[in-house]
Amino acid sequence: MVNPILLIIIPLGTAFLISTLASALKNTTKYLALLALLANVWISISLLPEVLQRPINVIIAGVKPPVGINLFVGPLGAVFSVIISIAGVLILLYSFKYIEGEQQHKYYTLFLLLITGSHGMILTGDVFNLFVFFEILAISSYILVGYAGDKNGFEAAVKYLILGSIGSIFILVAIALIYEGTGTLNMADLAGKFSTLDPARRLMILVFFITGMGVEAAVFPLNSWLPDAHSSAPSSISAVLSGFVIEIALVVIIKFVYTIFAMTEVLGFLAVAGVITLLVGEFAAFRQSNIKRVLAYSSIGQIGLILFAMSLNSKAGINAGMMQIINHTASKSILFLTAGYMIVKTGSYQFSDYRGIAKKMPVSSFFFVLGVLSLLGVPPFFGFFSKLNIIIAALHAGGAFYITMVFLVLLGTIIESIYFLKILQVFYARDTAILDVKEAPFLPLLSIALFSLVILLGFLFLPQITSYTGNIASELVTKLQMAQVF
Amino acid sequence: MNGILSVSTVLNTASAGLIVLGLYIVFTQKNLIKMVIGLDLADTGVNVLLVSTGYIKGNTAPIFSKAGLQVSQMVDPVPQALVLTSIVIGFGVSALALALIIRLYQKTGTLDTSKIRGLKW
Amino acid sequence: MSIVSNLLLLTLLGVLLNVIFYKSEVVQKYISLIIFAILTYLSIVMYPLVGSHFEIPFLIAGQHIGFTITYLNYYFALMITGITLLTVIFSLKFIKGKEGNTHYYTVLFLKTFGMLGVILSSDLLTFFVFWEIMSWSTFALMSTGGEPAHRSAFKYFVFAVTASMILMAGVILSYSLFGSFDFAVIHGKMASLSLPMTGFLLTIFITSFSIESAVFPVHSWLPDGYSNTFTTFTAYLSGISTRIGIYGIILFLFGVFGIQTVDKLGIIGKINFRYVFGIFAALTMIVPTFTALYQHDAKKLIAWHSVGQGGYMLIGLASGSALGIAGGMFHVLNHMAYVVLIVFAIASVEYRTGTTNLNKLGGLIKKMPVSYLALLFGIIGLAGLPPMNGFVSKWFIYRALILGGYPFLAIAAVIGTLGTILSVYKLIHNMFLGQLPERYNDVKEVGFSMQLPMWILMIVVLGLGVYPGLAMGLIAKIQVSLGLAAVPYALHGIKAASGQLDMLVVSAVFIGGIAVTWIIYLLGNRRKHVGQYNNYAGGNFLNKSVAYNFNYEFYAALEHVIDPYRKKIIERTERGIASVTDAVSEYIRRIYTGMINTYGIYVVTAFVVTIIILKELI
Repeated sequence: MVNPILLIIIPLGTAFLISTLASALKNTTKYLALLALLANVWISISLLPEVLQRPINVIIAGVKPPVGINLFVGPLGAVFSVIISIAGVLILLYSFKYIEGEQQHKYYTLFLLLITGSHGMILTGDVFNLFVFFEILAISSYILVGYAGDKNGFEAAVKYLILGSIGSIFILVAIALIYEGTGTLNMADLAGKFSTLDPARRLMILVFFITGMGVEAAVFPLNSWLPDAHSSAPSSISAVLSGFVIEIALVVIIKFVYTIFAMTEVLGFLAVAGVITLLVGEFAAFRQSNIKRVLAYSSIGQIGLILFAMSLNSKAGINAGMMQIINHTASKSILFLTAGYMIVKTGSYQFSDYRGIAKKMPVSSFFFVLGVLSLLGVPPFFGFFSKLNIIIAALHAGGAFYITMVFLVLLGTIIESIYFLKILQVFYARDTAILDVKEAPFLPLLSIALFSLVILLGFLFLPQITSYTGNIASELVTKLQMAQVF
Repeated sequence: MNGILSVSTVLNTASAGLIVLGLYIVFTQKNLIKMVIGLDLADTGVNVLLVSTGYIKGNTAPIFSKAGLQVSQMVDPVPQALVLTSIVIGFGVSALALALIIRLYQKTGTLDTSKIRGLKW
Repeated sequence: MSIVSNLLLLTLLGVLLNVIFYKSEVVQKYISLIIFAILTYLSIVMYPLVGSHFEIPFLIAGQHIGFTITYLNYYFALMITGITLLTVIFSLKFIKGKEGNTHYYTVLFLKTFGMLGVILSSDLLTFFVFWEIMSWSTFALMSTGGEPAHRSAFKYFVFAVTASMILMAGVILSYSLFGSFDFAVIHGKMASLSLPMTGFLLTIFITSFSIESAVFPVHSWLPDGYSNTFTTFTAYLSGISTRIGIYGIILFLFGVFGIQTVDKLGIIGKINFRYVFGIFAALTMIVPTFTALYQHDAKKLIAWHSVGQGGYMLIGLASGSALGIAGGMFHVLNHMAYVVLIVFAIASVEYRTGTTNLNKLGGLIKKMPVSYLALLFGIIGLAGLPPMNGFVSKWFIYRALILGGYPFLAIAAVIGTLGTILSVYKLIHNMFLGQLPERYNDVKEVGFSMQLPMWILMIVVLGLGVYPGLAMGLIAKIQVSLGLAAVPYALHGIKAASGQLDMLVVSAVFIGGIAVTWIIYLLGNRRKHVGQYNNYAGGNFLNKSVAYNFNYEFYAALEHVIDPYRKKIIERTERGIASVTDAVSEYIRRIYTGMINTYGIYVVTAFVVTIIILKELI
């Protein structure tokens, strides 16, 4: 068995290695980072079959839980590690050309730390450890948002940092209350003891936790940092942030609500919050002119959809939500990454300046179209199946309430289709004012192409994918974690 | 101390006060540096709260090398470890915040949040 | 299995080959010609397989992709492949060297793929998947043709995506109600569903299809969308694309829900679901037909008629009687034949003159006699006069409305026909009659490859008019397969107890009448051949320097009469919806003020609100 802790140690160690050896390695640090992430991909994929048989519980430093710190690798953790590793590698590949300059080792160090934090958040079995990894993730992303060193980048980074800190204060309060009430920080142990707390304290802990994590998960109205941060960051970082960082925070909330707090009665509220987030995101994106802001607001919409799906309190809902996460990771990465080179080549963020860009950058534009189609859920792309499953799950939840929610979700999709189509029409306009724009280099295109394989061929592997996501659903619904740790 | 004002009450009140005060500063002050100070205050408040969770009345600091001190006489050491971590993180975040603010100031020439609204809507 | 999968795979192959050879127009057009010929052949020989069911072993949401061949979809498959083949033949020359034709055949194949999939599917999910492919490729078809085409295609897209989402809601709602996507299973369980729910579900489906088939309040995307693209696409889209919506309506009204179920959906007294639907259909006949009068562009005029004629089909279906439904279904075929014929004639004129503007054309009859004849055949069909096919199906529909006791709807149909006759007269007059502008003196008739489809369609239009039995056989079988009464037909017409129609007699009388008139006209001997400029106006002789044009503002007086009734309610409503959406989105995005202090307050507000709400829940 490969020890899952390597998923955390390898990027962490490589990050420090890169920053210490920076002067010696110069610009070859990126290959080191690639190596580390490739190792991560291999480890996470090789863990997958094992985890589906039986979740892995890793005890750190020889002290057994609940006193010691442990990693818990269930289906959720394993699948998410795969998503993080693969998306991480592909985006890193994109960065090879995209990030230039002498100081690029800083970028790779932070990138690896971000990956470390992501893996840690999803794998840890300890509440306080979760907070630590959350901070690693958050701090590295604050810096990466401002990496470009322009005014917008710093402004977005400062806003993100202040809101993120408020969020982490809330999380820390929740942790303090948890410890005060139950005397434990181990998630599995906590799951057993949490129900013994009095309702008022449970409520306080839940709300502090949801609010704190919700800032990172971009639930409305906690997501006000997102449009700024995602649109001002370098495009590769936007892809990371939209692709899996907000999803991780969201999944952590969902995991806590289902298994650890076991307060499924609040799920209806979360479903409504999801639909509101969806509508706010889509409507706010409707009149944007900055292409990255469009994509950022669309991420808010998508995260709302995912939250809605996962809050349906059914296996089908979680299953569909996980599929939508995979779809969103792939398609939003494609969109941000292609938009990245369009911005570089044209020097403008306004998509109205891209009239007829499809003639100059045909491959990028084509991938952009693919990303849009999958994001909108057009058959036979992967997004269609995830959206279909979400709506089936919602209608199975039954009742006029969920039918109304479904209609709102479909309304959101209409709005989303319209504003994306506006962009596509600009791309494919016959007249063009763009003269000396060339296609993006090969390596970034390769990375984008690999992402689009997921949405293009995903439907061929639907049974396999649903078997994995189905395991996640049963992990959350049947509260697997409590049962298997001890 | 006895009766009305127990140590936990004092600590809890202090931490709640610090958090509320800190957040109040964040919401009302338009100066970015002051906002960071507010965040620090709130952070301190949370740290106080964390420490207070491990408090056991009458017990002393958990120092194992001290001769003759039983485990039952010590306060809970876990929150203290947590607080140390939290303080370090808080320090890091503040330092980063100030660094970013300096760079932002270099670009915009102001610390007033109502004037730093290049990104909106 | 073989034929259905061959049909679909061949169209996909067509898409693929056209993408590969996107640089060579010659390769593209011959590949497309060959493949569409094979497709047409395949769909003809599919007949013995009617009634069989196929599955492609591929799971979507635990469901195989299923196809079935019924008489209904055989009928539509024939129309689709046939008309696409004719369009391709016509296009061989027509699109040569036109700007933006690189992906002409690709989108044509993609669209055909979508349509074939929609009509052949045997379950809701397959239906929906192909429906989406079809809508997107319709959008692609409409987008070819520069900036105005982009705008109108965008408008279509807004409607289409709304229709898709409504359809998706319906698909999944019926899945959660019946536990299956399969049409047959749903049909079997339909009786167990409560009436309000049935009504709700049917309304969802019919609304979605109504958008695609441009029923009155949601028709406004069609005229611009169809007329701004290539003229051949105008033909193709008007002929068959919109009618897939009609297919959906036929399938769901009679196939999935069943006429018995639909008839149970009463509202008040005699006013039931079908009646309400009929009213919308009547409005679809009248309003767009009179709007067509105003058009100065031949393509746009025909596009408006495409909307209007859809109303006839729908009102036939809504009548609910065997005769009316047969009329509705027959009219789909008839409309396809004559409207494509008309647009081909327009395209021929455009090919030679470069314009479709009715104010600029005229007098081309001697220059382009075949095109003139084609247009003449087509508009006689469109106006519903004997001996062309349009007369037969419209006769069925009028008859069914009167017999069924819907006098108002019958009157509406007649009013619609009046408008049709007026506007098609404008069409033929302004293009072929009247004076020939000087600049068109050396215009020639189009070549063989463009004449051939027109000749074929002229034969079809006339043939189906005189021998409606050719199509009625299949339509009667469709009716039986849908559990409806069949119309007793003969080769020359119908032989129902309620009324007979013998088209041979009608045609003979009609032609006899014309002959008599002609003879009287000749006997009168009042005519005199004069040159085009041997004429006067306002007391002055005309010469080449005077631009005197009868065609300009052809119906100015009539328009003056109609104007007060044109309120443009639809346009205003649409603009209202658009500006409301804009305003809403503008307000919502102002939530993100850009000021970090407010963002912090949002967090605390969210915290407090969450506590307040969750306190009630826990």
